[in-house]
Amino acid sequence: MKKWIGWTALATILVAVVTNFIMVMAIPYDIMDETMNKKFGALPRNMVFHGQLKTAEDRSVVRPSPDLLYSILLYDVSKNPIRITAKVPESYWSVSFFASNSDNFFVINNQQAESNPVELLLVGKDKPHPDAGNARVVVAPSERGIVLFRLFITDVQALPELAKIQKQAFCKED
Amino acid sequence: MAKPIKFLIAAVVALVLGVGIGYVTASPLVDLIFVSKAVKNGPWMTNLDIGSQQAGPYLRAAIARHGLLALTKSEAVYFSAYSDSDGQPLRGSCDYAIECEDMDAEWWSITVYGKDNFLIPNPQNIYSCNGNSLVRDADGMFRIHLSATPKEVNWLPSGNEESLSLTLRLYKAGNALLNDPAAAQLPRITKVKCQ
Repeated sequence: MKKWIGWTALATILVAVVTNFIMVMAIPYDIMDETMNKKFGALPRNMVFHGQLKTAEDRSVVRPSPDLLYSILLYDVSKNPIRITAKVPESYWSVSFFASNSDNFFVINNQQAESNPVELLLVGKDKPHPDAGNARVVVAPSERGIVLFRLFITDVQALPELAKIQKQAFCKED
Repeated sequence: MAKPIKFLIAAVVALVLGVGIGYVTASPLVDLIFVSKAVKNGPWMTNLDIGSQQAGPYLRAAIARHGLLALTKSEAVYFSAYSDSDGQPLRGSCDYAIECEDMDAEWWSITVYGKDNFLIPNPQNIYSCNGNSLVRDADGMFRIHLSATPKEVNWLPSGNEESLSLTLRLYKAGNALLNDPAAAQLPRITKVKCQ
């Protein structure tokens, strides 16, 4: 009897460890999926949506920064690559790419931008892509994910001018 | 009892209990591992693998839950504080002084959040202070007042939140900070009074 209890306990621990690991592995995918399909589900894919100043009413993403103007792009490169063009301000600006598991697989900031406006071509992994031209090629590890633009609000008076720059970011399918 | 029946019962018990334990412990374990692997600096903690493709499954899960779409350390370093410099939990019913000098970054900000990880509602819509917007004292220090009641300068409203937390964001942090975040000069959080 004791032997059976021992084996059952051991099997329980093994099942618990495997279940725990699977659950934990699934958390980032679930949260990204919820963010893309529920919180921002109404947004069309491959279009840049420009947000306003973050306030307490905003419940889209936890722990937002109220010092930044955010723009978001839900990418889908399952069919075609996308070309992203953005005006780069002098103050801090970055565009960061997140895979479906929430990894930040690429980021470029205002100091690293080779041109102004900057041009990026996002292509699916192992997918053919057209001539990039002046654009920097970024390979997406997952077909769907999120691109986030951040623009530092240097001071409130500069907000209208910064908002104009923010709105000069756009995306089109290649 | 016949052996096959014993085996079947044992397998069902192990499966049901194991799945249950694995499911229930997933979230607490993620938080526990996140805290245990964090770099500590006074009341502040961070993890330089945030956002990175090198982050393990437990850290990745923790970041997705508490700081989705966070940048990698080359772009930003995020420190969080849930307690003051004496180790006491941050509470909305207390006033705090946050004191710091210039920090080793292109720009930095301190944001206060409620228990739900969202910004705290207040009529003035003030949620953060950054190095550009703060008024410096005569001695060159920044002194931020984290309190429910308004202050004339450098006020960070804490609302009526039961518990608070702070995020210090350092964009384009310097190499000294990236190499040794535990030794960096970070803001001191001192409790002034409680209601």
